[in-house]
Amino acid sequence: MSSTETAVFSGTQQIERYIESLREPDWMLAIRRRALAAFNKMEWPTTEDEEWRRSDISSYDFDSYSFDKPGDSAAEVLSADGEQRAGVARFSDGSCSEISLDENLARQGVVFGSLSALLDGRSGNSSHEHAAALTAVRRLLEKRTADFENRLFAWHYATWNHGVVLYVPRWVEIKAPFEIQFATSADEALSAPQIVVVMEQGARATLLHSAHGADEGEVVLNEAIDIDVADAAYFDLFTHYDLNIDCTTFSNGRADVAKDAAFHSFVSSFGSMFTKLRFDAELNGTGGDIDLDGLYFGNQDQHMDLRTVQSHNAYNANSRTFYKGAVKDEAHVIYQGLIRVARNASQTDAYLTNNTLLLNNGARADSIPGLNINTDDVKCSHGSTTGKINPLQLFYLQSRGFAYDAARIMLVQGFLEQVLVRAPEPVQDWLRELVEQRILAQYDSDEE
Amino acid sequence: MNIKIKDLYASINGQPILKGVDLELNSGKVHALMGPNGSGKSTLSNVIIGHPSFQVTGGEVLVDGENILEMEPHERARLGLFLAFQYPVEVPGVTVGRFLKRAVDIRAGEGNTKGFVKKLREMMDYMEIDQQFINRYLNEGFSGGEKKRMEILQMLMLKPDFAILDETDSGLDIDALQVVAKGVNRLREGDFGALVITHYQRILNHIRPDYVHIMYQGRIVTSGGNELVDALEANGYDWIRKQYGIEEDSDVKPVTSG
Ligand SMILES: Nc1ncnc2c1ncn2[C@@H]1O[C@H](COP(=O)(O)OP(=O)(O)OP(=O)(O)O)[C@@H](O)[C@H]1O
Ligand SMILES: [Mg+2]
Repeated sequence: MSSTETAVFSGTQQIERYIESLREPDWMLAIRRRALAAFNKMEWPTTEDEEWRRSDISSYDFDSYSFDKPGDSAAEVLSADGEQRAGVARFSDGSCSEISLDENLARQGVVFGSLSALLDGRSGNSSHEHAAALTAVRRLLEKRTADFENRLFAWHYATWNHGVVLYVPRWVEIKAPFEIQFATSADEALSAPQIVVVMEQGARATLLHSAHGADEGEVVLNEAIDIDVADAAYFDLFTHYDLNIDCTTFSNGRADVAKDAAFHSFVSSFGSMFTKLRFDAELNGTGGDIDLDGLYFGNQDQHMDLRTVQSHNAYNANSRTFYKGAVKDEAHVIYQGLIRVARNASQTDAYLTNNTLLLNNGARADSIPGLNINTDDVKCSHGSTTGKINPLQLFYLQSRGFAYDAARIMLVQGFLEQVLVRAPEPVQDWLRELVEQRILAQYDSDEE
Repeated sequence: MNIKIKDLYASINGQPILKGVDLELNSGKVHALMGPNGSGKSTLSNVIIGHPSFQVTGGEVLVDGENILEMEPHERARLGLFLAFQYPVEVPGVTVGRFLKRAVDIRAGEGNTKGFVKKLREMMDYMEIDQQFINRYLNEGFSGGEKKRMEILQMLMLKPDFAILDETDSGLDIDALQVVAKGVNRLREGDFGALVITHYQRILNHIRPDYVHIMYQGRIVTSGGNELVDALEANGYDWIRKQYGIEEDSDVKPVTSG
């Protein structure tokens, strides 16, 4: 970790200077410059944009956040189960503090490590696998940056300052999960991590990822997760967001799922004052399968806006979205879900479900499911519910001896349990604990 | 345990349902409660346990001399009262095993639940409930009969002093009925009491009541022994009405289910 406090501001000139300082291949620098050009041309999303209608970022002065700014501590989570990992990558405030990869997997051509290191050749590895990984990463990132949907995307690809690559060669199946942790502790800092995952044909892997940080310090996280799942491959992604209550979290995940491939993601959202998460998964081949699960628990005066898109671009593929969460105190959660079915995607089977439990009167939730279906012969459905704890269930538990509070806790846990059991096994108990802590957390709205 | 219900009045949404119930119940005894649909049997059960939808407008319920009507439902449960619901609610996300473990912890005091799993398995066998139900969510997707057995399983695990069984026999085939009766009779060996609410003589052949009470239009109109059951079976509720000179209640609509 660098000891000099070089504050590089994220205004255009500073970004330019940052890009010039990087030792990256020309194609990556070209992406960054294109992103910067787009960034300069675009405006920040406003509440006029449908997707941002309920999430107002007009009061942010994003230029005032610096990046590459060191902090000094990093909480460790996710390792609680003590189980074996296929590989671990830990970053604190943008610098890499740990990288490991199972030797057997390395021998099989698996690449897992710092994205910057892969790009600037620092890894010292010029093997065939690294060349393959580099090619795949380039192909995916160039595709992702062919255009920029909004200014946050452009900002991210111009400024990303640390990242991880996972490349799994054809037919390599990995049981133990990989783990990535991005921890922040700096103040008034921008953190722009980039995750790139390429699963070649028939590969299988699981990745557990967490972005979290110190109890204090205001950070804007602007993350991108780009995933390519090739024919017959399987990828399971767990992402957890738990930055402190002064922080802002943006994350945009996109997965391309090919023929007979399967992708499962589980998003867990707990932290930050302001959160805008988005996950787009595209089914580009026949027989593909997508599961997008989410668990959220808003408290205090948090604002969480979660969006999923399940796009069917091929015949006979399945997708399911299941987002479930609780809201308490004065928090506000927005869920937006879209099922999109292209003209050629007949025999689509898609559904999305969103259920939110409001724990008290000041808590709010909006659920906005949408369908955009351009062909016949599809099975699509969506359903959403927003409600309070069922008084009959409460009475039932009370009649068995549970005190009011204990009964409520059990019902909230039960409500969330239905989605929680869909998270990868190694993080389930740990998530249960977080849920319990959040249920018990006290909130004093007058608190300074 | 002695339960004295004195001149109890209760309503729902302003509509009076219980209109002066007087009834004394004792552990060590099995009481049967019969009465036509809508007469207030479930209302009485729910009011005793503390259902929030009902308003008590008069009278009292004394358990060993203490009025319980101001108590929270869980405090009543901790006194040793239990209600096997006519319509048990589904509690998605809460497994039978987890629920029962916590409930038994509360009842027995944490640390006094050694051998819980063994006991649970034994009771499930006894109630002829498949062991896989331990990991099922409580009552979710259970058939009517499975829900009733689950109520009795809970009763066996919690060992109340006094249980109200609200039409636990309804919708059960004869085999299931015998299993449920077996569950009740198992506790009966101790100082356990029950109020068995039913429309049918059938279950009372398996759980012989010590007393029989008849409820009509929100009141207990008569109490007696088994001969009441026979008379009712033979003559129907019209007989009760004539026998006890009850006027047809004009402000209570006839209702077919509670
Ligand atoms: N939740 C409720 N809301 C409105 N009315 C109710 C409610 N519960 C009970 N009642 C009314 O109270 C009266 C008594 O109902 P209750 O369920 O106590 O009867 P019951 O004797 O148990 O009948 P059954 O034999 O059909 O179970 C009925 O008129 C019923 O419609
Ligand atoms: Mg009833």
